[in-house]
Amino acid sequence: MKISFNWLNDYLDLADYQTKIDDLCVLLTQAGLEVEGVTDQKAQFNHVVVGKLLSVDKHPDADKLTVCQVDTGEGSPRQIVCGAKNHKAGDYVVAALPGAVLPGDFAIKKSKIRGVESLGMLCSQKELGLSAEGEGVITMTSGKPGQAVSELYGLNDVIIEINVTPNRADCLSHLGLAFEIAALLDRPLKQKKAEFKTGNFKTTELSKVTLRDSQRCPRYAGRMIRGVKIGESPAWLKKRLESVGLRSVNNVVDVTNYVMFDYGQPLHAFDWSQVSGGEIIIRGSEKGEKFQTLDGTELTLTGEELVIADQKRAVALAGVVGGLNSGVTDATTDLFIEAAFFNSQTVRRTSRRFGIDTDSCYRFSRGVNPEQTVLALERACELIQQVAGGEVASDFYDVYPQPLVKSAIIVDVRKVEARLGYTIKDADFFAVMKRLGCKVDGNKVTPPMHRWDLSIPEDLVEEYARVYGYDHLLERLPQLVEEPTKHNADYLNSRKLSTYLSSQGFGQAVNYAFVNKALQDTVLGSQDERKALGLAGVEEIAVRNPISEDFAVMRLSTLPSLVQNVSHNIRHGNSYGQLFEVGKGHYHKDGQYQEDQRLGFAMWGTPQALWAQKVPAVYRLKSFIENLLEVFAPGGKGQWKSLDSSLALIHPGQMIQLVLQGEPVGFIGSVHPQKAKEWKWREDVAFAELNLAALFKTNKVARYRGISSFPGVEKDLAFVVPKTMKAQELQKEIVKTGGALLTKVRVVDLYEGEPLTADQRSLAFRMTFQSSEKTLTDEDVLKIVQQVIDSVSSRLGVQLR
Amino acid sequence: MLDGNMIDKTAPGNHILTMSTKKLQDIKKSAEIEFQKAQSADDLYQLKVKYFGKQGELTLLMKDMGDLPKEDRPAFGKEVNIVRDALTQLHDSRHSELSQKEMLAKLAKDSFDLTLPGPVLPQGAKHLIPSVIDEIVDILARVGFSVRTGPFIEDDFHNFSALNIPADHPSRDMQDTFYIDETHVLRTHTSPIQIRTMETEKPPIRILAPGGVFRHDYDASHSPHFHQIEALLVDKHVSMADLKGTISYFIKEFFGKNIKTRFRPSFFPFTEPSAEVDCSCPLCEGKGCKMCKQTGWIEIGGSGLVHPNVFKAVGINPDEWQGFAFGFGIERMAIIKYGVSDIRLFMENDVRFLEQFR
Repeated sequence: MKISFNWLNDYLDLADYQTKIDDLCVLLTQAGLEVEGVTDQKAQFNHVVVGKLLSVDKHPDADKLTVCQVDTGEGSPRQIVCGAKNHKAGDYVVAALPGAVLPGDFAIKKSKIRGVESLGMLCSQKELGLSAEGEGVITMTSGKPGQAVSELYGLNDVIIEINVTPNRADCLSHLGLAFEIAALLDRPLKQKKAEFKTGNFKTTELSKVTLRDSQRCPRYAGRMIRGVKIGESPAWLKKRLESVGLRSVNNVVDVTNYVMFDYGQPLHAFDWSQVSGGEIIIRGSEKGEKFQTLDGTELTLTGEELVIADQKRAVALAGVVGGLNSGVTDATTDLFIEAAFFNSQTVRRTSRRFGIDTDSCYRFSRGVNPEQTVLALERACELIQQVAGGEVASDFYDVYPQPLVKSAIIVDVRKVEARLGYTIKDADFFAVMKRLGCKVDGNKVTPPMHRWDLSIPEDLVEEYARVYGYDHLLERLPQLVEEPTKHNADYLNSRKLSTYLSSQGFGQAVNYAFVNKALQDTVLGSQDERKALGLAGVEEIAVRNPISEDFAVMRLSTLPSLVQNVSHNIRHGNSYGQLFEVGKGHYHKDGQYQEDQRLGFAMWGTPQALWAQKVPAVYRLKSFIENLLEVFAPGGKGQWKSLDSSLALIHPGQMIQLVLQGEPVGFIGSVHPQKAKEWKWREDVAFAELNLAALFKTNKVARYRGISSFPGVEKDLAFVVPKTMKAQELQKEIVKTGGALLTKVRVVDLYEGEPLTADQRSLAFRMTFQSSEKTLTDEDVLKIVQQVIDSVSSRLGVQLR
Repeated sequence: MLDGNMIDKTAPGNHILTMSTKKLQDIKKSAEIEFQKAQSADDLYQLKVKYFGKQGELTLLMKDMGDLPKEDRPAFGKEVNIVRDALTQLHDSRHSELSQKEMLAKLAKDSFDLTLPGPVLPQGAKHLIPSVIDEIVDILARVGFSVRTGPFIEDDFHNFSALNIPADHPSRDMQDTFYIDETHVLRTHTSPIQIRTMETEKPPIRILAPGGVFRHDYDASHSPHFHQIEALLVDKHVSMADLKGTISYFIKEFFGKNIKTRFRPSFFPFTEPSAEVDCSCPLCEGKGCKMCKQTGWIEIGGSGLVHPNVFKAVGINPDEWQGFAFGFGIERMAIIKYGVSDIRLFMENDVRFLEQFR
């Protein structure tokens, strides 16, 4: 909120802060009213003064320039070269002298123009930022040479922008803020009673006010003013409104706005000639009732709003916005001025329902001061009479059936001390409470009506600390009495994984939890296909009010995000990389929102280097993941299952599924060439994803197993197999037949080509035999090897090469 | 030759002895020549086999010794041993000469240009956001705090009502919210984790709640999904001094020993009193710079004593227990400490960004 320093001074003498606005800002900020910006109008026009043109002569070397002798009140005239045409000797002008910095950071310096010295510049309105256009320099018929231009235009205010937190509605006006500063500085407030002449007529005779809902409108006041003349506001009023960022409309509307920023009380002025039946009714809306706002928007009410109505129709949405049907126009002469106290929730609900946010509902929804209703109304009468003439009725309505009261708070100063951690004298505490406007009776403190935020002792703890100063707080570490607890397992697991994987050469990705729906559909396919990927849930959750299409649905998996990451990197010339992400997937299941922890991988390109081996990304990724499983799920009985992918993202012949206890919990696969083409990826790209919960379920604490002291024997066997047969099938058979003495089997060679046929390949296995009881003899080993050869031959029809 | 004269040349044994001695001398001579001629350790090995091997000439000669008269054997044996020792010595010295020569040749041949690079090994990096979270967790774990986590999709109670943010209250406007349905939101802060912890664990409590949070805001300095860490302490006697002391300890550990902490009154619905936390600018050390907007101070988070309404919402008696809570934005901490210039960099996962923080 913008606050005018001059305006504040109407209510509080701050003359001593005129030259030290920064101190005032620190005071406010340290009291919880954070100053976000300061604009000093005067400083904007330093070294810009009124001058009198003593003479205007032609420049000796330039036809379009003049050399002026200007009296700027310094005793001797200044010579200024000017390019304008509209000035003549005897005119009063505005001169920017060396040192001035005009809008747009235009610094004025002493200079020579075509050989003639110039000690400043004559200014136009545009150059001073006072108007958008303006040919020629400012000329006036009279003036005081040397007078600061800020003084000439009354630009002597300082505008302070304050971030008012939602609890401090009382500071949303100049009087309110003045009250707060008065309490902080412990100085008196200046407030005078409104003065205006009343006419010989009564509001209560000419109009009727019927309050049907005192729950939602605890107080309603109104007063009539007759014979006003709608017109332009005087300069002082316009200037004040502009200083707080408001636009002038007409004199009456300007006054209602002015009083809102003055007292914090929103007002409304009805054109009385438009109020049907001479009655103001405060009632609930009717379902389907139509209402047109001041700016012409047509609303259909729901029956839940509070409206101000005449006998026929609604004329205002209470506290939110006035109606087009009854607003002040140029033809208006008789006014009914409303000042009310509406329930904050009622106003807020209506405001949110229709998306209407006005200065009025901003204040009502935060809470205005119900004790100021009539004072604000009188202030409005005073000002309207002053700027628009007219007669004020001799009486007014003030319907306030159940005056609001604030309950007393019982304070134990020892508890205040305990919360703040330093000692406080009782007298000091209660003195501060009084400065804040509280009534103090023993240990009972009753806050003032305008402090809606004060209702429990803790609120007063903060008030005391705020006024006394947060800087007095001590610092100490809290005593630790109980034993500390463990970190949560999700955190620990993801931290361990991240540390492990980053040391294995993976960059860690962190992505948005929401993605583009079309991308998610492309990447994850149909619901059945999603299951194949090992997703715990397949039904996606949409965000109701997404920021854009790209953040429209919660992601089910890290894959859509990783696809984006790969695209980003490839597009930016990072042709090789490998990423992992520990992140959440969200889904609907059994009518619930669920999430699971996922571990995704993306690998693209190969390092361009001297010793590079051409290993497809998907195989490299598999090695990393197998190592990971050995480290993080050593007890796991995870099995790889070959799968023909039907996913748009994954190559149909380059995918393998990780199965745990019969359930797919993850996969590894290469990107589908069709997608790679669409996305313009020329690199070899592989993805993988695992369900972390399923993985960590199998995690066991490692136990020592004996290491054999007898040597192992290695034997290699190469088999010729049809290409359709997966290596895993053959390996399983070998392992089964090999028995307990076969401790390790690895594929060590793969051969395709002559003399094998096109549908054959040769797979060589290296088997390690070892006993924990003896050194195996050749006979022992050869016997098993023969069994392996026989069983592979009889069961799989595969022969030795 | 005197020795020769002593031998009875007529005895058949003597004849054999003469033959054998001659043979021995021949072997010696030829071996000496051949050992000298050998050009490689391999040649030398072949010669070793030729002379000393199982079927080697010297070995065979020794075997033939059985043909000699018994009395001559010791003397001849001695002679053979002398020759063998001499030859062995010659072999060994030739062997070491040749090995050395060969080693030098090999070294010359096998010289590497080690200015060439090795194979490219992928170099990983932890993302800055989890790194900063871990850094903060480690600092606060030392004073007894441990991590709790919670869901992104929260119900109205855990995200708002329990935190003293009632429906139709302007404090809801402080956080622009993403809705999933009427009663569910994407959590706007990690405070619901505090609520869930207080619902399930008994005080005293010292926990940290790190994680992703969501606000309906997207520009150069706001991300709709960013990260926070919050701390909650619940105990019998808790004051603003405990709060300020803990934060001040944390800031010194995180940013540096000379960084100061300042509290400003503020408003959060879930704390009373509330304080905005500033630290003296780590970049200019309080002198004033662009990052601190010339003020010397940087706003880094919010804090306060737990509001009694929050305790009531989770069934903790506020007359018996008190608490403090504070929270920081992770991206903001990372920006201040590591100078990251644009919040969007965090979510692009460009490897050139990631690899800067290892």
